[in-house]
Amino acid sequence: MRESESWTIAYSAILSFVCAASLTVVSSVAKPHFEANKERERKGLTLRALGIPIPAGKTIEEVYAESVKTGKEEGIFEYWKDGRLQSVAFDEDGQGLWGVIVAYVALEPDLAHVRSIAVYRQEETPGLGAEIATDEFRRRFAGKRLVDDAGALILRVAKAGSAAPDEVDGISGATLTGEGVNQILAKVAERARALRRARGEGGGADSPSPRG
Amino acid sequence: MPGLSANVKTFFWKNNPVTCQILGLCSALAVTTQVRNALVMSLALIFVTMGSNLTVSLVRNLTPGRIRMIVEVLLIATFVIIFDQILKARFYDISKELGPYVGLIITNCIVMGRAEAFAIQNRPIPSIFDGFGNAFGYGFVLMAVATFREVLGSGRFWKVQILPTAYEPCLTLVLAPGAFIGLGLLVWIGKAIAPTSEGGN
Repeated sequence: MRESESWTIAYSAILSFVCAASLTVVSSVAKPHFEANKERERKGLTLRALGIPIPAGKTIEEVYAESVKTGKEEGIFEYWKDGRLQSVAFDEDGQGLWGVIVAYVALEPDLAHVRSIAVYRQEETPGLGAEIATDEFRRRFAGKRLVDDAGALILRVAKAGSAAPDEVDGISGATLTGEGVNQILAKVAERARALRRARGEGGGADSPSPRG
Repeated sequence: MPGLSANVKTFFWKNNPVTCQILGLCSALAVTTQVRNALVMSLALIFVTMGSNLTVSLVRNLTPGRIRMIVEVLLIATFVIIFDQILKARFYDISKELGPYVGLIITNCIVMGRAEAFAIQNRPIPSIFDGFGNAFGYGFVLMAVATFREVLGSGRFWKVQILPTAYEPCLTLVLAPGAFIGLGLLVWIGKAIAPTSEGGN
């Protein structure tokens, strides 16, 4: 009986159903928590990139709701304080060694200098390329010039130990990961240029609009 | 029928699944850069092996012989996914650090090996003990290798600096070769203290 074909089929069906049902239950219980964790992580990284401090006694969510405005375009986050724009972050991706690197790059209101970056998703080699997600690597970008007055990209991740003053030192042994970050920087420069142009056309007096 | 203590003793050292049977190496090499990750991985394996051994044993008289291995994998996968979901919901940081390795427990030879070699032929209670003993042996090796690698490789234990900063961390130990060296030493010590029948020539 146990080895009969009909029992084999019935048994497979019953067991599969039981397993699938129990996984469905577990997943529906866990999913809201998981989504909340992911969202909190994303918000925390946005705050970090924009350079927004988290005062003691406040949660990431509260600070985010108070200070961060999403721009008109998708993937743009603005930090407003006392009615003034403090920094603008762009959500961009690039191709690393093992997978896609997704990062927030935050610029100063002049849209030319970098405030900070925060790598949001990466699958680089632990101990090598994955170091791009560390604070130490993030700090290398602070205050660097992303684009020159004509809007051309000047900032890039150089090979480790060979960075010019305008560039950022890469991680030794992770040159391809650095190239992925460079792709992100190029895309951000492109979007920053578009945003500056849009501002110039809107009659904004505070930004020099280099239209060629 | 060997009880809990006998099982733990056997698989803890004399017939340890990692150092004597050389099973489950992929994860043992991958997650042992930090003690915390190794502990979570060990707990995951204990949970999965006990759960899969219990359920495989419970349905052993109903399972057609032809599809028994598929059934074993199905049950193992179910427990692995449950653990992964709990981790993602409750310990998000750890789940991120372990990355794909929790999911890869499905292919861990120790789990499948115990289901096929023991649970499919034995009653539920001994099967649970057997699962625990093996997974505990695996966890012990993981913790030993992770301690060795984290302390000497980064000067820390459980992410806390314990060696003086003057100590220059041995980077090799944090990278993949460090796991081979640590595990190799353990296998050597294991064979030297308790030679197994397979070890002789």
